[in-house]
Amino acid sequence: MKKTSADPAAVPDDLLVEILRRLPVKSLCRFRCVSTLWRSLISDPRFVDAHLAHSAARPRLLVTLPVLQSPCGRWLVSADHPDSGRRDRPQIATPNLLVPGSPDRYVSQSLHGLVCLEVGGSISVCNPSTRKLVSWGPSWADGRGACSYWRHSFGFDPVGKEHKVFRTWVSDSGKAGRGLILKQSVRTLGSNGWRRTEGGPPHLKHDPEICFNGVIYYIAWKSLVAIPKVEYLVALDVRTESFRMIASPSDVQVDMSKRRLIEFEGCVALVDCYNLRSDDEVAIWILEDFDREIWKKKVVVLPPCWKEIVADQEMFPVGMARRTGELLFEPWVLSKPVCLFYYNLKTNSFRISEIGGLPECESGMPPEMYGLTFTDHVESLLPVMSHSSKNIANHFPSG
Amino acid sequence: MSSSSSSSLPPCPKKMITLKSSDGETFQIEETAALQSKTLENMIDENCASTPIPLRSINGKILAKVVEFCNKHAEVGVDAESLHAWDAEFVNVEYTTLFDYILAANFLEIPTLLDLASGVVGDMIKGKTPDEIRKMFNINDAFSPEEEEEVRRANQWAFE
Repeated sequence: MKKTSADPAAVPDDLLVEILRRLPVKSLCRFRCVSTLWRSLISDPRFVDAHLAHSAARPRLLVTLPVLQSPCGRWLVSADHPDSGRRDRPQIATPNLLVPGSPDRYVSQSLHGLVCLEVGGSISVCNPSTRKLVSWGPSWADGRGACSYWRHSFGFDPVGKEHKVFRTWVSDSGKAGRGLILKQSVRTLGSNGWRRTEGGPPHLKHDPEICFNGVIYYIAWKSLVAIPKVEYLVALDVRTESFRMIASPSDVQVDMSKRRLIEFEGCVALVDCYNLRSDDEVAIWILEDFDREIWKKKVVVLPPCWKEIVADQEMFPVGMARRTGELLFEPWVLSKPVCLFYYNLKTNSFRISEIGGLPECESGMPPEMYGLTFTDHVESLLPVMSHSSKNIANHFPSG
Repeated sequence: MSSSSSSSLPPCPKKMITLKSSDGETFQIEETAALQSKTLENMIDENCASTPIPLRSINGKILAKVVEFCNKHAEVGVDAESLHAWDAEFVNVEYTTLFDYILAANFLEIPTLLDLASGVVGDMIKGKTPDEIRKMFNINDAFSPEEEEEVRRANQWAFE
């Protein structure tokens, strides 16, 4: 056989990496069977990082939806974000994984391709791209007593390159003036167990969280009984595991389904869509000065075409497409096919994406109540069990 | 083509550098085009580019194409769409040639070419079976049938 100057067998490993890091996770899982060399290369933490760096520039959309009839669970499906404002071509979703068990409410955003969620009374971390899943049951010993609540949050520490699951048990002391009792533990992905931590001031998390730059943010109450309920923004540093409570902006509305925490130009911000229906107005509360706790309000008036596009439907914010800086809206009543509205804060313009191929779900129900979630998602080979990707060799490109 | 240059009116001379392939062919390339290669850029910066630069790992056939690529990408006023079409034509070659491009782009550090050629190979192989990959890459260090079955079972969903 004639040997060409570039016999593929002679392709050096670092060039093989160049080719393979551009492939979808599904192809790579299949190519583990090619040879021992390919298997070890694809599993190498440095390759996992190089692959992630490439796919991070091409975020997709991850939709999760609960299945209430037997066999119940929560579906995780992924689709591309739409290319343009045209509505001529629906995005076809790929079903990734059904996490079995009775679906609970908590679903985290996707962080470096991993998602944390409560299903069947357990907390799970999964990688929808590799279909891998790990679950831990509750530690009931912490949750004894009446009126206790289980809360989770999921974060990524970019310095230590670690994912962490934070778990709190919150119970009411039942005594006036004593407020809440909080027990907190944390689990680093890849480690063997839960560690008890300080937990910070007692509080009850009640909104979906957002995590960026190594900090988890969520809104919480300090007390269950006080009326009106005073809200705080909790900032949880994933690396140091320390909490900070910041007073919420004073006149933000309390309808939780009409607001959402987002990252806005590097700051945490609360998008408030309470006046969306009456005034076509979105208020964005930006935490401009974290140390001095200064919030700045920015009001965005949506363009007139908004009314025509959404017709009579009520909209609520469900998340953000970070690469394009677009805010995602879902109609209050779930329709078929499921449509997602992309609103660009900078250009004040819209696009609509129709998502086809979703597993069967009941229409006519509010997605918020139904428990549909939407998050930016990147394909990644990160294992959910062991997790060490700290040493990046030079021949593994990171850009 | 007749030369319009005359001794009385010297045009601003374009700085050229000379590259020499593994099989001894020489190629002239404008410095501005050569700057797309980080390797060549470094040599220019260190004043090592005044004599022909020997590229022992790249043959004349491939080097000619790489020079063509750099020239095209250094052209001014090419719109993105037509450059995209040109690129698509450029990589419409046998995969063995694509491997040559990747090796050359890696050696010369030309990220645009590396990206383009690796991306095309990626598109070619992403739907293939492990058997097809082994054939394409001349791979002989396969698993034993039992081992392969085990690895395959662990990744069964990726075959569906």
